[in-house]
Amino acid sequence: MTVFAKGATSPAQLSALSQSGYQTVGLDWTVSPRFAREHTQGRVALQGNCDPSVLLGGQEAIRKEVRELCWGENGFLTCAAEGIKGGWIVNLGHGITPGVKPEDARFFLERVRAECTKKSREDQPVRSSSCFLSCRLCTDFLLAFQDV
Amino acid sequence: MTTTSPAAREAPQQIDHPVPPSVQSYSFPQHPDTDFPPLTNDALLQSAQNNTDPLSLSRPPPIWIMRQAGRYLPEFQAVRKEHSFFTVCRTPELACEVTLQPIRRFEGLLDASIIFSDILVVPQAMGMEVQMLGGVGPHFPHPLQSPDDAQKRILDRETDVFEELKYVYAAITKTRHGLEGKVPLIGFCAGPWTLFGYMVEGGGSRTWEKAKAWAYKTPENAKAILQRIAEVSAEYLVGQVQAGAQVRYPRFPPLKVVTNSSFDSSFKSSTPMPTASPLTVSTPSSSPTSA
Repeated sequence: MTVFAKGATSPAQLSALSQSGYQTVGLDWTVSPRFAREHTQGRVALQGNCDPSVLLGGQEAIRKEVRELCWGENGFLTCAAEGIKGGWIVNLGHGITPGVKPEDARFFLERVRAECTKKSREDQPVRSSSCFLSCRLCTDFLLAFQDV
Repeated sequence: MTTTSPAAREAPQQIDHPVPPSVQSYSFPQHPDTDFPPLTNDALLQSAQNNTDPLSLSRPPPIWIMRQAGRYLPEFQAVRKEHSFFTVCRTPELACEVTLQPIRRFEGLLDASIIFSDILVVPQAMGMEVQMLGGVGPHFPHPLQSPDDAQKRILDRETDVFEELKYVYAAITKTRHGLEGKVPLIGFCAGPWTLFGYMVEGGGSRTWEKAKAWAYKTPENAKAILQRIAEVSAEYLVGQVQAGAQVRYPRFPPLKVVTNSSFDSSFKSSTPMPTASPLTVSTPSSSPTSA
C-alpha cells in the first residue's frame, strides 16, 4: 500500500510515515529526493515528485527538471548510484493540471524513460525524443545490450 | 436578471445520474488470481514493495501520473461533456473508459492505471449529498453542523459499504479486464481527516478551521467520526482489492493544517489499514481493522 500525505515533509513526518506499515510513501514536490531518503532510511519505496507546474513550463523546462529529478545532485538516481537504498516510483508531486498539453505530458514520460535508462550522471543520452521506436522497445533493446 | 456567473450560464448544471441497474447484480470475482488477464508489467508492484532499487531493475523504474485520467486529455473532456462527474464515477463503462484513456494514448510509457473515481464517494456512501460544481469543485449542500447533527446523520447510521459502493467495484473489475494485463490497477481512498474536513467545511478549505475547531472543542466526538470514516474506508479498500485493485493508495490531508501532536494521534488512530497482504490480488482472509 502507498500513503500520500501532501505537506508531510518535515523529518519527523517523513520518518513517521516510513514506519507506519505502508510500503510506499508518496512525496509532494517540495522535498528533495535525498532529504526524503535520509529521513525514511530505505524502509519504504518513495513515489514522486516532480512539480506538476513543470508540465506547464514548456519542453526545455521539462527536460531540465526531469534531469534534475533523476540525476541532479540530490536526485533519485544519483542517490541510488551512491548506494542509497529504496525503491522509486516516478510520479508528479500532485495531480496533473487541466492546462497541460497532452504532448507535453508525453514529453515528460519520454524524458523520464530516457534519463532512467542511464546508469550514471555521466552517461550520454541514449535516446532522443524523436526516437522512432516505442520507448519500451528501445529500453529493452538497450538493456539487453548492457547484459551482454 | 439572474445572479449566475457567465460560466455557469454557459455550462448548465449536469445531472448526476444514479447508479445504472446493471450494477445491481454485481458480485466480486470468485478467483481474483485467475479471473483476470495475466499481468505482463509488474514493475510497479516490484517497486511499490520496496524490493528493488531503481538502478537494479531489469527495466526503468515504473511511472504513472496522479490524475492521469483527467481534464488535460481531450478524450476525457469529450466524455465529461456528455456526462456529469459523478455519473462517470457511477457508471462502470464510463469509469473504465476514462481510466483506459491515458493507457491507450501513452501506450508503453505508463506502468500503472488508477481507477477513475473520487475520494468523496465515501461521504456519499455515508449518506451525505455531494455535488461537483463546474468551476467551484466539490460542494456539500448540507455539511455536518454540530456533534448532535453528526451523531444523528453519521454515527447512528449504518453504512452498507458493498451496496453503496459496488459501482466502484464493478468499475474496477471491468477495468482489470479492459487493461488486458498491460499494467496494474491502483485503487484509492482518502484519509479520514481529509473526509472529515470536507464533511464539516462543506467543500475544500485553505485552513480547515471549522474541522479543527470541532476537533479541539469536542475531541471525543471528532474521534468517533474519524473512527467511523476509517472503518468505512478500510472496508471500502478491502472491497477494491476483492474487485481487482492491485495497489491501494490512501491519501491524507495537507498536513500543514494539522499540528505535530495531532498529526501523530490522528495518524495513529485513524489510518485505515486493511489486513490484506499488501500488493497482492488475493482476497483478504480477515476483516479490516484500523491500525
